[in-house]
Amino acid sequence: MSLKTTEAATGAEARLAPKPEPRDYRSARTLAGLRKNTPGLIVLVILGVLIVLPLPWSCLRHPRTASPGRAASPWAA
Amino acid sequence: MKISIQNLQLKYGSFTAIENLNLDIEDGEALVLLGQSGCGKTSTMRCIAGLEEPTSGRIIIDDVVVFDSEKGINLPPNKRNVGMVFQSYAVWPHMTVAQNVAYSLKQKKLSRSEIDERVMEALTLVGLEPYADRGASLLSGGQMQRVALARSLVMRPSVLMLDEPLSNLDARLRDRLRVELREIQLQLGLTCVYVTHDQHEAFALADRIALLQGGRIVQMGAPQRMYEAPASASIAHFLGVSNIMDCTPEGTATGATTARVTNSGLTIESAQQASDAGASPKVCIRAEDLQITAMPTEHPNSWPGTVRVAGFQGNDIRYAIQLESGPELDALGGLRRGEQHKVGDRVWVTVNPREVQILPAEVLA
Repeated sequence: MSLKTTEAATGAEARLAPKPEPRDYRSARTLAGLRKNTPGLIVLVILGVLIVLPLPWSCLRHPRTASPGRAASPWAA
Repeated sequence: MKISIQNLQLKYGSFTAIENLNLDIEDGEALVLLGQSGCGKTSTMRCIAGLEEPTSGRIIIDDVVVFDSEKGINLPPNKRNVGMVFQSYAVWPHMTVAQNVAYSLKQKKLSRSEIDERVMEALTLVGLEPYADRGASLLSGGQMQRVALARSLVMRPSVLMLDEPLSNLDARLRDRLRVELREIQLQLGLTCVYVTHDQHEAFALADRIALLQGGRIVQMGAPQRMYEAPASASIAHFLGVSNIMDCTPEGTATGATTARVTNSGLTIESAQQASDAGASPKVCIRAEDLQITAMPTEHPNSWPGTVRVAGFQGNDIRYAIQLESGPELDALGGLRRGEQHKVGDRVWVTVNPREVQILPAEVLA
């Protein structure tokens, strides 16, 4: 036994389809076993901070705004 | 799989959505939760699925306690082995049909070959195997709902839950899918919980109906029993009884009842006993039980009136008849029964006393 699929699948019909409710999407994802990946996001932020912080402040500054007494940045060339 | 719900309560602040609900659903049974918007039917379903955390109570699915407020047990939704089909489909538009169906299996990290096999099995069941590679956004409403159904079935759930799945489809497609859903449920022997506010859908799909009002079950039973013997006038009204009038019932020597309709000169004979009427009694008559004739009949419940409205409905004509004794009645006259009357015609409306029910306004808590 199988269902018969006779109704037309047109773009117009797809546009007429109901606007999906965000709550239903969330529920479908939860039932499928997908949880919000909050720990992954936290690890990404920490990694980002650890990579950026050790860089010397001057490396992040544009050569034109660098202090006059210091050696010219390679970027100045 | 058997489901047992014990003393379930769900509160949102001071508002009680579900009040002390007790319900047992047998293995392979299709139970329909029927009721108006806001009566707590979807909340009950979401509590069973684990998508809503009840305030108190206990839920057991297949002898496994999935929620117990006293013992602090609350199994996550994906560990309860329930499938759910939503009113708005919730099909992911950026994926193909097959990817949508395979999504949960991938989360479970099954092998590629097993995923392919189970996806095709589910798509065959819902008749969508030729559409496996089509983008989900290009499907019609009916096809999207079939994808949602395949996505639930592919997990081989213990319980299938359907939250008003046919509400967004046109009438013809809804009628067809209603029959096909019932076929699939019977074929797979699935325990089904179905939420709807449509009594026709409930009658067509249910082994048993639980009617909810104000967060509690007010009547439960087989569809035919619910149709024939509603427990209150408000339930009768919800199940499609259109002639409901306040009355004063009086017992007769034969054990039957004479009901005097409030604010009118109409009296109606009922075969029912007056003591069954309960508090705030109302007389209830179905439109299809009224017979309309051009001449008076010998029956006790036969009243003259005038046709005020006659609406053609294909096989039937729906009449609004203003009785000379006061109230207006809603009646169905069949073209095939040879009854056809025009607006302004004087007619006689008759009903068998066995079809007249005198019911309390509400079921007491």
